[in-house]
Amino acid sequence: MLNSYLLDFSVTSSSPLWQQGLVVCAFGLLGVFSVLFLFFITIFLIQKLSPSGEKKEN
Amino acid sequence: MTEIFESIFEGILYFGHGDNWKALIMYVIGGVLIALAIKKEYEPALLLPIGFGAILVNLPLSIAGIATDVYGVADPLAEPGFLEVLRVAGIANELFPILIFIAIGAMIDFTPLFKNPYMIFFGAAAQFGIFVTFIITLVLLPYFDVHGTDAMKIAASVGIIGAADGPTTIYVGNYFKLPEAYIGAISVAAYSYMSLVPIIQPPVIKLLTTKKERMIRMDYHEEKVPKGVMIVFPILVTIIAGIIVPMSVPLVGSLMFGNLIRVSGVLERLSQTAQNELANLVTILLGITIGSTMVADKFIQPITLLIMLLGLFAFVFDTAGGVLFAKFLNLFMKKKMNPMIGASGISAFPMSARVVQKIAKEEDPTNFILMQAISANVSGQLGSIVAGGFIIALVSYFVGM
Repeated sequence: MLNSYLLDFSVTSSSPLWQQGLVVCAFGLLGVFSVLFLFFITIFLIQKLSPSGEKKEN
Repeated sequence: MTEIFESIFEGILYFGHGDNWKALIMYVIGGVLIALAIKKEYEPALLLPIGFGAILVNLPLSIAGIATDVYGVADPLAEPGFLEVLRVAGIANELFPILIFIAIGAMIDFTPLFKNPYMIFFGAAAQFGIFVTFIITLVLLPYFDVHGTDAMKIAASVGIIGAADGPTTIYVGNYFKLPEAYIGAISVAAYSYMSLVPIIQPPVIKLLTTKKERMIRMDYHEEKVPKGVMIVFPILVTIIAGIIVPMSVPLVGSLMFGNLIRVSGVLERLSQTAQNELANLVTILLGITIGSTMVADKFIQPITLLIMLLGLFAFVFDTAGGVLFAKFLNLFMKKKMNPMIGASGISAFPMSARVVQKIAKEEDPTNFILMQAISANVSGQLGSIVAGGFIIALVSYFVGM
């Protein structure tokens, strides 16, 4: 999937090095933010769906 | 008669041939690392074995590594020494970094993150330095006669020093099959700078924040996190990371496996073993094996200095990225956060959080932001391995791996 996105941007292994570098930076930073955003949603959802520990103790 | 003398004193004669004198410089470097570990207590568990490994592998004839003759030429028929056996068994196939991650996972408590989930974004912002350093390295490498796919691979491995995460750095460097000399320089840079976090981060933080900002207080509520949440989290994170960034699975998977052992509550013995025996054993072997990659004729090169310098840049930009991101968020927030928290988004746990708390305390002795800083710090652990996975995936695409 990632590869097809990169091809859409017409940046291939024969493109200049700086161009490849910029794509790595852009997709890399965006990717890290996206995955951590998914982790954030995960934390939010599992905390919402799980019964609270304190309630359980009561 | 001469031959007998040559045979007896070949250890001394060794230094007179070719570039073998460089081994003496490696003894000094090894000694400095050991001194930093003992005198300054900078990551002693790693710097001491690395320093000693560097000395061991550069002793005449390199019996502990790949044996050479008196001229420093490797003997193809000689049995590999124990350091070479360890390198092949634990570094070349990435086993040691993975085992370390299981141990780290068992040590990490994600509770502060569950209480401040939005802190997870600092774990992403503080990876900024990885990518900036990647670009800078890519621009500089041609001046050192490194071009094309080699430049991409080296730039990726140098950039990842900014993850402030030794095992991830070694993992990425190994993935791209870098020559041993680069692995040595990159690993030493990663671990040295991790230990220097208390020296590197404060000036950057102070440069980018005002005294007023550093004095901002943040609320923290003590709440119990349900056990179910703590158990489901590592499993879901592994699955999500595995689907989105498959390249990060060995790192995320081992970290989360260690964490699952910890939070499960039924594997106390295994959790303790992972946190203590496994961590200690692998740290010893990892350290001395990394040291053994610092072979003089490959390590003493201008590019080693470049790697060390760029590694420092990576740490500085990471810190700056985290702080600036917090300041950016403050533009939109009613209740401002202390921007120093952003600096804790690096993976150096828990040093970075402690540094931030120390600065906050210097400005206002009653200000306590340690828990928020720890939330950002554990996010940095996640951010750095995800960044490692992305770097591997993207660079592999361009270099055709």
